[in-house]
Amino acid sequence: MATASGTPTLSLRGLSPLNQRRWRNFKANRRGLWSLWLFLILFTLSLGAEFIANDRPLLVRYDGGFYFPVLKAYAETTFGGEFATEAEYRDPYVVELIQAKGWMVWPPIPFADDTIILDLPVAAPAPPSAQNWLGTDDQGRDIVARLIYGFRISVLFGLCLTFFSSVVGVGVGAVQGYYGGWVDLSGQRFMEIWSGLPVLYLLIILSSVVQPNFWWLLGIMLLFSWMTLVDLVRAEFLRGRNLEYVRAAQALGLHDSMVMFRHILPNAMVSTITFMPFILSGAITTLTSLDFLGFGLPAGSPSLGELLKQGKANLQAPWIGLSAFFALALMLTLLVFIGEAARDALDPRHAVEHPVAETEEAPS
Amino acid sequence: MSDLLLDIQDLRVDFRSSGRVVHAVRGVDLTLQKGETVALVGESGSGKSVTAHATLRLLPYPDASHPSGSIRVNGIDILQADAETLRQIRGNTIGMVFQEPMSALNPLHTVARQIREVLLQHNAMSVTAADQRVQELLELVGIDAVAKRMAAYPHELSGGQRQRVMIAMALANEPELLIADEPTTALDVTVQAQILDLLKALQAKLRMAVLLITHDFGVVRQIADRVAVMYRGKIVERNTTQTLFAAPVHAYTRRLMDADPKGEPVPVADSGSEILATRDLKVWFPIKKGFLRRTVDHVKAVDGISLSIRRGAALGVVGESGSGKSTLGLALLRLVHSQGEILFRGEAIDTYNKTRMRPLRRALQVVFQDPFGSLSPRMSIADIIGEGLAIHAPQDGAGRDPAIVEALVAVGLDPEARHRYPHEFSGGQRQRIAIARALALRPELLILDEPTSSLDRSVQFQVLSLLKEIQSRFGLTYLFISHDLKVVKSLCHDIIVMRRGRVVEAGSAAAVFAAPQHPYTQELLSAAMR
Repeated sequence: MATASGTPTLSLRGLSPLNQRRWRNFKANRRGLWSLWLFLILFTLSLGAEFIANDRPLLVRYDGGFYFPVLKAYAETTFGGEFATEAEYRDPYVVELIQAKGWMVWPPIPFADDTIILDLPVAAPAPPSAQNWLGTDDQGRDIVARLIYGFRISVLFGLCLTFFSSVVGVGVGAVQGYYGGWVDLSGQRFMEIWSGLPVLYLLIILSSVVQPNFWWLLGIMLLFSWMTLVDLVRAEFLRGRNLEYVRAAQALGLHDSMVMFRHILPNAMVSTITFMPFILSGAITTLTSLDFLGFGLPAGSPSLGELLKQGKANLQAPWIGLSAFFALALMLTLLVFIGEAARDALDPRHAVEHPVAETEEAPS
Repeated sequence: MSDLLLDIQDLRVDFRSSGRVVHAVRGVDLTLQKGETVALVGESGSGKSVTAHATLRLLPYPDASHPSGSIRVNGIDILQADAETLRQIRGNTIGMVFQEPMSALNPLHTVARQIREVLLQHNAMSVTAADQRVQELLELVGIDAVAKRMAAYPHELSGGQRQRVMIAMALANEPELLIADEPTTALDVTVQAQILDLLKALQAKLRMAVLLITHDFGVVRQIADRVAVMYRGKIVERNTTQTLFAAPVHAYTRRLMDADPKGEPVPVADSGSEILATRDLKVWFPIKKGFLRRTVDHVKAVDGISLSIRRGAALGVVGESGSGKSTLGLALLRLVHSQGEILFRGEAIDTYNKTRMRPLRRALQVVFQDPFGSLSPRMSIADIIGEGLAIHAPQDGAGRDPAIVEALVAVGLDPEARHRYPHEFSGGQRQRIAIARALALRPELLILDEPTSSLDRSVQFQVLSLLKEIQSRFGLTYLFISHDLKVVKSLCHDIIVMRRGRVVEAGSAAAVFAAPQHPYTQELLSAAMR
């Protein structure tokens, strides 16, 4: 029996049968599963971007002691230099100082996202070479390093925006759907007006008042992105509030908030979760396009949109535009594939096609 | 042999879901002669519907499979037939009527169009000729105002009319065999009787064979020539109807036949004080029209009901679907907006807001009809039962545990059940859990909204005995909402009969059952008790 159904793996323990079935459905979509793994690997790696691409060595051996410049800032004087400011490890003078009394271990890519490479053999943007795998941008910064940091900031921004807009959206949708009537009516009308506001103009005006940083942008985007989920959750609650177990809970005298979040929400979550990967990819696209237009993250931040803009400005250096394009395409494609697999997994009507051979092993 | 129409030999059906295999049908032999009516009887899960659906190969293949068996219709093996042959047989040689007339018709097409489609699929005829035939068919199944009904959409028809349309559709190509899968289960009793009469008349007139799937022996007795009783995927007894009813052999058959609710209500003191009363209770849902959504009319779901229940007694509220009896229950629980006085233990609760109602809810509990819908699928049994306790008797989780165990024991369930989830239980067990949830709060009045109607007869019987037992043990008062007069008779002391939101007859149960005054009550009784 157990062999026919496939031996349950460790990851399945502790999951309810329903969730086990969903996980199996998800795994049945090979493309989605591969995308998920690839995305998780890329994302985990990018979280440790400082250890992969950095202008500080991972480890310095100097005068009998070990130093970890990635984790801690050391003054140049530590290595026998002249300034009390932080050491510039790429400076030939500092390199000389350290190598006189020890050695350095560099990350695979010895540039951070904002490292301007001063000793380029050609004028920036430099084409791909052994030193700069995808070349440099027009300010002499390594593109691979910028892609890694840009990927991280895009995904983090997307995740934050998805999380916060889901919280707000589910809350508003729940209230509208559960109470219905005037609450619903006025909420819907408000949303219609609110969604009519021109987001881009608002951003342009705002960026002339404050210098938008990560959190500013997140806040402004959140003002408008929470509406995506409202209609979905509202519809689920409109349906759910008439279910018998919800009536029974009301008859028990439960508070409205408990009825909403313990009885109706778990059932509304399926459609919500299905939507989330698509919100995530939408959020990333939005951030990229804002950066492309120049209303996004502050100047100098590693961002895919900014790289695309450079690609457009430097058509003679196609490696800039192509790198940014492929990075973006890969990221969004992975997210869409994951989203599709998640949708299949959560769809109760979706039956997994069993291989024919399994039928023969059916136990009596 | 030429009279042999359907010949099922050693049919087995397996279902596979997530690696597990369920043997739904385990070796069924069944034959049907031309012009004969055979009833396949059994409780839910016995495999009777699966057998019927297999006959047309309507099962969800490839999840379903047939390890062995053959189904021959006029000598053609259905299980081996190609798609074209199958299409010829479906709707042409064999017609099918489903249980749920609500969902078996396409809501977007008119009645005429749906029947016409079946005709055009199998015959080379013009649309005008087809329409002619549709009209004949609708007349045949006894639909009034045929010309008007032809252009009607399914939602404009009543349940009985929809079932008639379904039958007309199944009959469109004059099938030799009509498979009727619980054709009357979803209908009201008076309508059930009409549909059965219709089937019987049509069968005689068109000389077709009928394979009737049902769980109701009352239906069987009325129209079947032969009966096959199914239990757990096998036929355990088969005989002619007369012989079977005269001398059932198999224990299961006897249990099914005996399952009719019997017995008298729990004795109650006549002097019991009034626990709940209403005066002229109304629930009107406004119908809004036009740009400004002005209220032009009302749907009068409950229209001026006055009732009174003695402490410790059971009041039966009887009526067919749409009579407003469930809405009445919700109004008493203050879950829908209503007008008119509701007195509970002498307090006028109709003016209470949510906060003031909350302490009262402990004493006023409810059990709903659908045991599958009334338990939240994502909560454990302990959470479901303990939730009300958490509101009304705030104490920590461990302190609630004894109360939960006690409630489960009271409804005859293993206390270990509290660690499991609703989907692991059968319908009857779920209904017990729903009763335990209400019982845990030690209510005084329990509103039972059709608590038995979605259960098998033998399970109904168990739930009813349970209800009686806990009534006498805890001194509960019941408001029992049901369309099933047999059940009401065995449980209720007083009765009100509702029709279209109004009370047509009220009185003690004994008096109403012995001598119904209102013609509607008489009609209900005669349909239910035959």
